Parts: sequence; structure tokens; C-alpha cells
Amino acid sequence: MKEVISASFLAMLEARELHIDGAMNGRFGGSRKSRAYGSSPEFADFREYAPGDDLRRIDWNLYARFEKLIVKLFVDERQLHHRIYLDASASMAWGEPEKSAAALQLAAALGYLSVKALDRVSFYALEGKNCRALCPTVTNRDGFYAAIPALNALEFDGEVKMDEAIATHRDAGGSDGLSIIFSDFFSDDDWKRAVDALIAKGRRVLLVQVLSRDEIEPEMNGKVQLIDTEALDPEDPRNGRWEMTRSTLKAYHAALEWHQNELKSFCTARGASFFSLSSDESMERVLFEKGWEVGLVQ
Amino acid sequence: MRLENPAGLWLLLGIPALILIYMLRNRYEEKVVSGTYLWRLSRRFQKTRLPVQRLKKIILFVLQLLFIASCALAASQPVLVQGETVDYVAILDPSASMQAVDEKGVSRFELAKDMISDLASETLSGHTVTVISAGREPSYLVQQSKSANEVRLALNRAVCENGTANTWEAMDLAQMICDRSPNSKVILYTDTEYSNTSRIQVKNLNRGEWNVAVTGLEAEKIGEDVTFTATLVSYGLDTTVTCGIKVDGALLDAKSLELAADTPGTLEFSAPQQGHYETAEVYFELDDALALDNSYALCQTRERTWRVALHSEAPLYLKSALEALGTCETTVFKACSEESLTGFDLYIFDGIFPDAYPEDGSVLQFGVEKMPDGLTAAGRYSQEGTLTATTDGEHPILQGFLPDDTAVTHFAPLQGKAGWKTLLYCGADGVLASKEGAYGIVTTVVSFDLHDSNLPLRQGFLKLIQNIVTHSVPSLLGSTDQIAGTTVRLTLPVGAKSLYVEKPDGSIQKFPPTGTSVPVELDQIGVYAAVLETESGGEYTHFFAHVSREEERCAPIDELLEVDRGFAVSGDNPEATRSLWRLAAVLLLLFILTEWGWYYYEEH
Repeated sequence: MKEVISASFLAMLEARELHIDGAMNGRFGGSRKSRAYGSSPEFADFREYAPGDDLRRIDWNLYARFEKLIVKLFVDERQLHHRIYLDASASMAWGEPEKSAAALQLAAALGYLSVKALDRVSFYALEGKNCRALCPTVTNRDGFYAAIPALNALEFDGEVKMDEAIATHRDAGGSDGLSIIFSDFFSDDDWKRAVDALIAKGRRVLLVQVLSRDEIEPEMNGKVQLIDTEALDPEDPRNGRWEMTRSTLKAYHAALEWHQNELKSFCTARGASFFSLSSDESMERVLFEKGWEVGLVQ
Repeated sequence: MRLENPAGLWLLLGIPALILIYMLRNRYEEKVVSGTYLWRLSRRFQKTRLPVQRLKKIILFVLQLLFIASCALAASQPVLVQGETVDYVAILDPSASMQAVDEKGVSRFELAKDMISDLASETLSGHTVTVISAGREPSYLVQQSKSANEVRLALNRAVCENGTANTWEAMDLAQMICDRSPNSKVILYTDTEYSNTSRIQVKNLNRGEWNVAVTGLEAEKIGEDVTFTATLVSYGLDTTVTCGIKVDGALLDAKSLELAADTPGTLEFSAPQQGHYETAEVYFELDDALALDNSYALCQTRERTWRVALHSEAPLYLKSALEALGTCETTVFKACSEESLTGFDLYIFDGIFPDAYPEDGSVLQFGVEKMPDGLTAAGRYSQEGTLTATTDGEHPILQGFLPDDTAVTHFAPLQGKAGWKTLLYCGADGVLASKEGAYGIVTTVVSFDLHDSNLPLRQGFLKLIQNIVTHSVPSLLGSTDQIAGTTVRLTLPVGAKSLYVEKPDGSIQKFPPTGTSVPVELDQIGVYAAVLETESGGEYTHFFAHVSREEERCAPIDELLEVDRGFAVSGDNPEATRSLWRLAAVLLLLFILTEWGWYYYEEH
């Protein structure tokens, strides 16, 4: 059982907000600006009166000046529905501390910031080809606190086909919120299809890559046969033999850098966001520095 | 390179151990990682290795191998043998036996020279050749020469001698070369078989050639008739030899003798009326290996008349004895005078003594009224006793003399200082003392009067007088039978004017008449003639120099000589040893540091 989030950390989140750039659609009753005109106190535009308009919105000062009936329009405020996907594969249970702990902690923090902004948030576990809701949609703080045990109970095991799991997710939503995927993205290309599926539905997408320290700075030497946690059979084609030398490690670092650049450039091209974190980094730093850098947290 | 401690090579077992460790370590260690995606991806970013770069994988292994090898090298205490240059030291035996020829007529000496010449031709550039002639006086023929021509020229100057080899002193010369250059190789070219050659390589040129030698010639004289007995040996083969004998150059007789191999045989030749011969030579003509020993000569010592001045008032006993000897021309004087004290070989003072002893001859005195320097007489005893001889029975004066039952009634005990030898005693007191001085002059003092003794009546008296006269007047040469290759000393008497020696080849060597004796090198085989001129006349003698017994044996010999010299070759040089220790230590340090450095580089 993992301690997902602490009370002291939640207190720190009180001063922060989850920032969603631009207007989005959503349910009525939220606090997020919408592209539609509504009844919020925030002025949006003017237009000529049309029959059926609410007479209370005619700007009489303008009528005195221009002798035309002009009505004032106001921004509509909506409640967004964010969806947080957690890669529950075995590789996320790796590291010291485990990558899953960092992912869950950050997911909970973002969920809390969502409900704090009167948005709704759903937590999903990516398991195999499926996307499983970890708890009912969280709409308020009580609901958030109720969801924490479900997050704590999440087991990280097996493999994940991210593209199939997200593309076939029926409740992936439309342009009503943010979709955040926590994963190490150590797969060939399935994450690209998953991102494209979400973008196609109008979702804002954030990819959070969670790595462990030994994945960033591997320390190995000699001759080793690497066994993938998700493919424990030594004969699996994903497993192989390496002779760890300086050049091997150099090539690994180059591969990691290339992979992260690939994630970043792909997201940039799709209007999505991306950042990477190490499981041993403090959550405050990740949220308030890296989250601020990508415009996620204000 | 030589190893002082070969046991150190056991450390090389570390190499298979290391290989075993690498084989066991070479297995791939299974390691679970979160994902292999990035590792698989990294293959794209790995640079293509050149074949040479693949060697980097085994650098650590190679360094460890070198480390173990250098450990083994250091532990085995290597000694550098400077492989670049070798200083060959060829010792050439020029002894008489090296003149032995084979069926083709090539002598051992020529064969040895050819072998050394070949050695000089075959040596690589940088090598040197030193040739030492191990003759009677060993010398360098050429020293550390790098030129084969120079070595050949030096060998052409080499001469085979008639004596024996002086191998020991030749090796002293070789040692000097070895001391200078640690990487020397000593090769001895000889026909002698050596049992222990130490670090010397011996090229034995003895091919077991057949040789017959006359090993001796003796004469038995009965009146004027002489019987000569020659001894012959055939080394290696049974054969029949026909020998001739020449007396004073005239062929007297010839006889044949069947000889069994390696067994001496004798031939007798009767020579009637030849009692006064000077030289007799036995010879034969055979085509054997060594011609030097095919003849043997016997030289008869010329009987010499000694002039004796006898000072005595009652000279009966002494004069009779001297006349009985037959070799003395005795003049009796009743008193000392200038005439009686010069020009004699022996001066006898019997109760009459001179003021000063003569210096040109030996002195024999009876009585102690006057004593020569260094000898004193303590009073005069009237004690009867018998004579006893000193334990030094080999003294020439006492040879054949038995003093038993010789009584003395009055005598004076003699006490001599250094140089004086007491030869006869009466009880514990010395009664006859003798001293040898320069030029062979002998002074003999008898401390009793002949009339106080029964000595003149004893049979030994004549022998004693003969011994004293013979010993007091030494001959020019002790023995007429000499060995070639040695040095004989000819005694010069007082008043010698000149000495000539005629060698067997007819050459004449003149010696200055200074000193008491002159050395004559017997470098030839044959009959020598020595002619001495003195103020009172002169004398001459013949003597024969023959091949030494060892040189006659051309066939392999049973007894083996030993050459055991600690030549300072290569490993004995402490500098070379030390430098290799340093080298091994530096290699060890270098390899271990490089290995650590490389390991650190690989790990970080």
C-alpha cells in the first residue's frame, strides 16, 4: 500500500491552481471559461439585439449614443472533466523509490487541484489492452478523499498496450478537459496512437514520463543479459545480451535523450504537453517547477 | 637469458588459472531491468567498431597475462646473456702431441687452426674472437678481433711447440677476457680428454691415431763393453718395429721387435769397446702419427778431473782416498801459500788453515782451529762416541754413506747459523756441517781430526769423500736426460768465461757468464751440446731432450684431467643480474599500474 498524498502536501496545493490554457467545453456550473456565451459576470462581447434576447442585457448607454439596441454578451463558465491515466504495467513498479509512487502522488495532486477548481476528475488504470476506472468520477474534495484508497490499492503488473487501451476507452471524453498519461513510455510507438486518439476527440493532452534514477543513470558493467520486467522469459526477443562498456552506456544515454526528444517534439506538433520526472525527485519541485514550466500549475 | 631460479616459472601456472577465471566470468549475468526498450534502442547509437577496437575488449586480460608473466620472470631471477654479441675465446693447445697427423697428413694443430678460422668466419657481425696459444708461455695470438682475416693471419703465426700445454695459465688469460665481457664463450682446442670441463667447451681433436714411441734408453757398462736397452711402446696397434742404434753417429746395429698394443717392449744392443761413447741414439722409421718420439738418445756424462789442493801434514788417508776416486788431480801442500789458495776446484784443509778462505773453489776442512762465518765450535770434548747421520738421509753428502760403528774420541760440537746444515752427529753434538754458497761452492767442516776417529778405516770413508768432492764441485748439468718444453739450468762455476749451447737444429745460443746458473729453454727435441769456457780450461757436455710421456700417447688415455675454472660468463656478472631485476620490477609495476588505470577507465 502506497501513501499517495499527505495532508501537508495538500495544504501546499491550496495556494496553487490547475491552469487550462484557452476556453473549453464542459458541463454547466464550473469555473472554467467557455467558448460559448453565458451568464458569468465576465464581459465577453456586444451584438445587436435580436428578438428573443433577454431585455436585461441591452446596454442602454449605447442605445443613447447610437440609437441602436445593443446587447452585452458574457463569458460562459463550465465545469471540465479531466481524465488521468496511470500506466499500471510492471515496469512502473521499478525504481527506488518506485516510479508508480511518484506517478500516483503527482496524479493525486493534479486530481486535487482539479476538484479545487470545481472540475471533475477521473482516474484510470491502463492494464493490458484495457482502461479501468479506479474510482467514480471525483467532483469535490470529499470525493477526492474517497478516491485515495483506490489509488493506493492500484497494483502495477503485467504489460500495457497503451494505444489500444486509450483508443478503445469509451469514456475518454471530448473537448471538455485535460487527459494526463503517466507512463515511462518505454514502448515503440503505441503511445503516439494513444495521443492521436485523444487529440482527435478534442482533448488537451499532457504526457508525464516517470523514470527511476537507475534508468536515467544506469550503473552496470561486464557482460549482462537484460531481462525486461514485462518479459521475464529469457528467450523473449525483447531480452538480450549486452557488454557494458563506456560506449554502451554512452549509446544508452543517447537513446534516452533521443526518446525524450521524440516525445517532446511529437507533443509539440500535436499541441500536447510533455515533461519528464525522476521518481526520486521531490514532488514539490516536480509540480511547482516542471508543472509551472509547461503551464500546468499556477 | 638464463634463469637463476627456474622454480619461479611455477608462477606461470597463474596464466591457465586466469584463463579459467575468465572462462567462468565470461558468462552473461542475468539482470532484470524495468524495460529493455531503451537498451534495444541504444544499439542504433553504438558506433561501429573497427576490428582493431575489438582488441580493447581483451586489453585488461592481456595486461593481467603480462602481469603474471612479469611476476614469473622476476621470481625466476633472470640473468641477461647479451645475445647481440658473443666473445669467443679459443684456447689453442700447441703441445707436441698436437703434431700428430692423421692418414691424410693433417696434424691436429692444423685442424684446430682450421676450426678456429671457421669459427671466426661463421661468427656474426659484432661477435669477437680471441685466440690464446696455450704454449709454455701462454699468449694472445689475437684479442677480441671482429675480423676473420685478422684471426687467420694470427693463426698463421701460431707455432706448435714440442713441450706440454700450459692450459692453466692460458685460462688465466681467458679469464681476463671473460672479466671484461660477461658474454664470453671459452672453447679449448686440444687432444687431451677432460672429465670436468666446467663452462669450457672442449673440442677434442684426438682421433686415436696410431703411434709408436721410444720411451727410454739405458746403458749398462761393463769395462769397455756397453749394453744398451731401449724401451718401445706401440699405442693403439700391435706392430713390428725395426730399430737401429747409432753410437757417436755411427750405425752399430739394427733389430726388430714385435710390440703388442700399449705394452712396452725392450730391445738390447751390445756395443763392445764403446765405453767412451758420447751419444747413443736408438731410432726407427715408421709412418706413425707422431715423428717426434721415433728416436731416443743417451748422452754419457764426460768424466771430469777435479783439481784438489790438499793442505795437510799427514795427508795419507785423504790423499789415498782422493787417488782412489780416480777423478782428482791432487796437489799436497804442507803450508798455505798464494799458489795453494788459487786455481783449484776443491781446497782441503787438514790441520793447516789459511788466513782467508779461497773464493774460487769449495772448501773441506778437518779441525776447528779456524772456522768459516756462521759456524762455531764449542770447546773440545774428549768423549768417545759413534757417528750418527741426520734424518735428512737424502743429502748428497750422505748418499750411500753408513756411519754405523764409526767411532770418534775427540771432537768439538758444531753450532751453525742459518745456511749451515749439520749432517753428522756424535751423540747429540754435530760433528760435520756443510753450507752451499754462490756458484755451487760448498764449505764442509768436520770437527774432529781423522786421527781421532776410525773413519778412515771404514768402508764408508771413500764414499763420504767421493760425495763431498762430487757435491763440492758441481757439474755443468745434473742429468743428461731432459724433457722438451721445460727449462734446464746450467751451473756456472767461478771463473766461467762463456757458455754456448748448440741446439739439435744446429743453432747456437750464447749466454753471458753472469750469475751462478743460466736457464736454457729446451724448445727442440734432440741432442743439445753445452760448451763452457773457464779460466782454467773448459768442459762440454751433451744432453738429450725428449718428448714427455704424456705427449707420446696419441691414443685416448684412461686418466682424465680436470679443468674446473669458474669463468665469469654471463650470469656471474652482478651488474647484468641486477639490471634484469630492475627491468622485471619496472615491468611488473608498469603492468599493474596500467591494469589499474584501464580498470578504472572501464569502470568509470
